[in-house]
Amino acid sequence: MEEAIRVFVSGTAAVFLGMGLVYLSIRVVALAVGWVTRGGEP
Amino acid sequence: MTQELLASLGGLAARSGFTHVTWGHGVMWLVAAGLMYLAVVRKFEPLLLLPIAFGVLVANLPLAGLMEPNEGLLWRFYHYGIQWEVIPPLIFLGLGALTDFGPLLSQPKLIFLGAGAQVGVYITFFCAYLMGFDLKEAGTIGIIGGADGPTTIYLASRMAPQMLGTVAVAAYSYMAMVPLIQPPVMKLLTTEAERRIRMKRTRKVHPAEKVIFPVVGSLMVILLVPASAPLMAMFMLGNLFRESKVVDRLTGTCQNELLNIVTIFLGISVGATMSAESFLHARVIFVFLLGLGAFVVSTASGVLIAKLMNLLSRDKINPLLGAAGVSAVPMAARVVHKVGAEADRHNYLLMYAMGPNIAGVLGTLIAAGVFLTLLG
Repeated sequence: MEEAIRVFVSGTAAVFLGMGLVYLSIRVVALAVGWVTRGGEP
Repeated sequence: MTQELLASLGGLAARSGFTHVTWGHGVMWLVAAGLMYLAVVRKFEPLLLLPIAFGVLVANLPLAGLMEPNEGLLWRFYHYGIQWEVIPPLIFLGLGALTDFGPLLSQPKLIFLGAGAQVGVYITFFCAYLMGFDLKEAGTIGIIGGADGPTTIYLASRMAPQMLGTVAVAAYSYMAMVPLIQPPVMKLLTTEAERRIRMKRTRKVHPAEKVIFPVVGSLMVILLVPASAPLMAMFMLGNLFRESKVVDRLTGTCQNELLNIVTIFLGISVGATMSAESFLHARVIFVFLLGLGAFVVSTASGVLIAKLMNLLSRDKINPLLGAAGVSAVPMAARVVHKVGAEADRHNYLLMYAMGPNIAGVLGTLIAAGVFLTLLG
């Protein structure tokens, strides 16, 4: 039972963490591409 | 002379399959017929269910030996294709080449709806464990809620190969029944006013973002969950082919010929694992019930996460979009659009729903990788 609870909690947390990392990647890439395409203007 | 002829015919009869048919074979033929009916008449995921059904039929013909280890033709397909983990990643290569991440990149916060739906995977895992399945079997049942066939097959082949055929059929059958399973759950958990919420216009995504995303996305996910690498790497490679627009021949091959060929081998191999001995158990009924529960709970958790996000954010999102967080691309997104249109026929949710729908694929990949890391 303890292992099932461990998998349940850490699995759910890992999915949100993974998706959070993908979210940050998307935002950073969008910012970087936007900055480059504006020729370095803020 | 006559006696010799009769003896010869008797010997032939004794070595024919007819004299070795058991009631178990008969039941499996009925199962195959049922799957063929769903595929051909009802058009439920026919690309997969039809080869699966035929695999079930021919693998349950006595003395044919198609699943005889080291000898049978279907055993070789299964062994080198699925046990060697070749076919599911190739399927993902094709799916990546077919996927447009644009809707997700234009509304990145919707990615959390794809994560929310995976909560249902873990809740089902826990329920299956409480019902007496071991941890690996429970994880395999839970991933059905991700509504992603190749990932389900991949995980089952690694963690519970004895359940491979059952969970694959459950996953594909329920994916085809998404328009029946999801709407009642979505309506139960949302108000009419919530279903009418209109989404803000999405921003235009620069083509460079689409090229960079598969590289950065695979880096992030594979570094976090290395066990997801075979599927994630192939998925993102296929998408990189597509978005780079410099390898149209490869993109076309991945989207069409390759995907079609491996789909044939995947279907017939999975079907062939469903022998009477492995399938005819009371536990199979529980797997199907839990699989259905997984779809329901994943849909509910996606919707509830959307409602939670609305509590924390000023920009409201239509909570129906959470239901698209189960993969089932693009069926779940279409269902979201249809249910939304019932509340407001001018509310076009399809493009917005594709974001969480694709996020659901990523979420299921991560969930499968986590199961493999912790239990595999």
